[in-house]
Amino acid sequence: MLFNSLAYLAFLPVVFVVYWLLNRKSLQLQHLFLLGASYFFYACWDWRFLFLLIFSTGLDYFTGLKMANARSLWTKKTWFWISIVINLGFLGVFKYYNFFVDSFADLLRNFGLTPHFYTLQIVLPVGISFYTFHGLSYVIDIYKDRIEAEKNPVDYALFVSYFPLLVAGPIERATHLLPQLKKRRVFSSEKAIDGINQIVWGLFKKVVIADSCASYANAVFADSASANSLSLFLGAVYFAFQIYGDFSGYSDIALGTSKLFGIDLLRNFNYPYFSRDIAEFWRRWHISLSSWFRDYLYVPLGGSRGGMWMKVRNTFIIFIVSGFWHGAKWTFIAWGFLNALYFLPLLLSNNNRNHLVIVAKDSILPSFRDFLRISITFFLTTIAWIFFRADSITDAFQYITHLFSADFAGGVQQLSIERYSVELLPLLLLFMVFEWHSRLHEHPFFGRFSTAKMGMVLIALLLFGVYSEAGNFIYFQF
Amino acid sequence: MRKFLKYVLAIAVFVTASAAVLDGLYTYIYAHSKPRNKFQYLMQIKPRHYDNIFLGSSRTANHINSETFTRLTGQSAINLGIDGAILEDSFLELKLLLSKNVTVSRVYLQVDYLFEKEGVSFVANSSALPFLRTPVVREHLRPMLPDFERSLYLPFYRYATADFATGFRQVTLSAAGKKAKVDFNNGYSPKEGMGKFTPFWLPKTIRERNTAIDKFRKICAEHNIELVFFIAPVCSETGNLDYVSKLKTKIPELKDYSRIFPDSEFFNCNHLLPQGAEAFTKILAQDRITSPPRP
Repeated sequence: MLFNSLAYLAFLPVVFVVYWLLNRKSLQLQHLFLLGASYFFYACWDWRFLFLLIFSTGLDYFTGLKMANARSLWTKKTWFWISIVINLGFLGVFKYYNFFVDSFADLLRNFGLTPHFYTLQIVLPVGISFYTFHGLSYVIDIYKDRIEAEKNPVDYALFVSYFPLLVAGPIERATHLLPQLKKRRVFSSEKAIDGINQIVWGLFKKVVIADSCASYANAVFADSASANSLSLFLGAVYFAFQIYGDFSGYSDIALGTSKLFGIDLLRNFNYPYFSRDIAEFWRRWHISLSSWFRDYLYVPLGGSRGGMWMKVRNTFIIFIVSGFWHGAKWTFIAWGFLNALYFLPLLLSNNNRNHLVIVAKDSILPSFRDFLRISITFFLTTIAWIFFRADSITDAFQYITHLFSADFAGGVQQLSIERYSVELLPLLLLFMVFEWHSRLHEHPFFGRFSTAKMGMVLIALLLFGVYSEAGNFIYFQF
Repeated sequence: MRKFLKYVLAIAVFVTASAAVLDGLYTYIYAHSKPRNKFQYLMQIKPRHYDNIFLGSSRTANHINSETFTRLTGQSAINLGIDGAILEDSFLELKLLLSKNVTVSRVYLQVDYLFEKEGVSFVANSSALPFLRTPVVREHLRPMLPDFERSLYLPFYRYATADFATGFRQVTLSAAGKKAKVDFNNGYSPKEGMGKFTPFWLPKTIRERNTAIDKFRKICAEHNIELVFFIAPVCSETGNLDYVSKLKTKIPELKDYSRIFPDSEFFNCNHLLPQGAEAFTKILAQDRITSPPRP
């Protein structure tokens, strides 16, 4: 069930009404219902993988309790590693097995051998990377004595499987979500209206921005050999907006939906394309994943302690692992590596925490210097996205080589989709104006003109929305 | 809760009202603007007579120059081939023509791998959706469109779901009176340039029947129209060419033009270059002139 489908439009109000009707009865009943709705939501993708989700939930719940009740450190450690190995094992089998087998076979072929390995023909369970990371953070937090084990199985299962965040995050923390589940929620019209506003804005980002950009970016990437430098540049820019609109739009719908139930989720995006350097970009892009890697990988590896070499090593590790988290492809690893390279000068010069507050917080426009920094950061990010989007590293290098060849033959080209390459620019420009205007808020519907802005966005949803392809959200595959 | 419900209701009313207004506006523009596709052209066509009409997909649209055909045969002709169209789409075009009091002597119907496809093609029928409330279109699409009821009754749904073909860009171009690249009085749209010679495969097996063929036979008999089935040229690299002989067992009168040209005449494996299209038109015209009179 997609967030941008008619099925979801029917599903959400039903769940909303029953949920608040149950609020008067009992909190447990309410949670049980929400869990059932979440499992139904997940089963709409593929009911068979529901068992995997339930097993993963049960495993972490059980090992969490065992760790909490362990009488010795050895026992605690044993249960901890059982959970880690099984969780990562599932992820490895479903997501990375074929990648490792293929890569190993390629390596052997380089030595003149012809190996025949068995590869699995399996579908990647939707959201496995997200719910596995939910579970991992929970288990690690218990092991490190940061939290107590959750005794209520329904509450724990809801923490892992809560439908707004189940398939593409944000990656929640037990410390943030579980305490909210312990309190009876009181309906707040303001909060629910805020939720609706965020859903509408997320929908706009997805069906107007991301899906429009997708057609153009796909056309350019599919025929990059015959595109000129201008089209290739625009193709990369369109992909940058596609992935931003797609993922941040999804997150907005998730956060907005959750607000309807009186539950706050972690913010996942904070205007990343207004970042003044790569470090700031990574504090604003997919925040829940970046902070997860910071807390559960970077810090345990030693973090910033132990000198510059340790810092550099750990930074490269988390960027490469982050790339690998996105998928079992060398292009994702290259994307992570490139971002680490971008990060390196800031790290070496101790300038990686320069911009902690949003740009031009107290002014209408950015200074020229900030504008230049934003442009450079966006450009670097866009180049990195080429690796993310390309089918192979070779394709990415060919794309970039051609992009910088200054081939402008043909000027503004007509793409294979019978659209000119520049056609989307006015829409993107308008979108950026809206984003800039709202950079201190979660969505643009605030202040005196919020009704007018809402009207414009709703009309834009009708006029410019792409509904014919009903494209999946990109991050569902991760 | 009341404040929230009022807010949601206000959004719902605003969206519904806007959708209704936009639906009316789009429909009006498509009905009254200069045609930008062949469905629009057919909706605005005046009663007249055609000696020959050509129906099919891009393999008809790109291959037959009606002007050349008319010059060589002295008979009126129009190419109504539509990119991506399948047999049911072509059947809808013929029904539309007849409903507009256009009389036709002969229908050339392209049949090849299209024989394998039943139902409607999204590409062609997205162009027909603005005219969904026209009885002929409505009755044709009713049993075929999976979301027919929603398209008919939900305001703007049909435009939203066919955004690429009838969305904002197209309606703006129509409203601005932007002329289409194709001269619809001829209907021929040559494929210029050089395409990719990727392998083209005809189907391995053939289906038992295609109901559109029966419908064509019936309607043509009812209106005393001569029906000519033909298969357009393909390149030498085409896979499963024996499909053509299988097709002939289903349609014995099928005119086979599949392998009449060298690869140099092709834009890609299943579409001719303009010079190939002209040569193909000449062959069709020659066959028309030499074909025996109808019994």
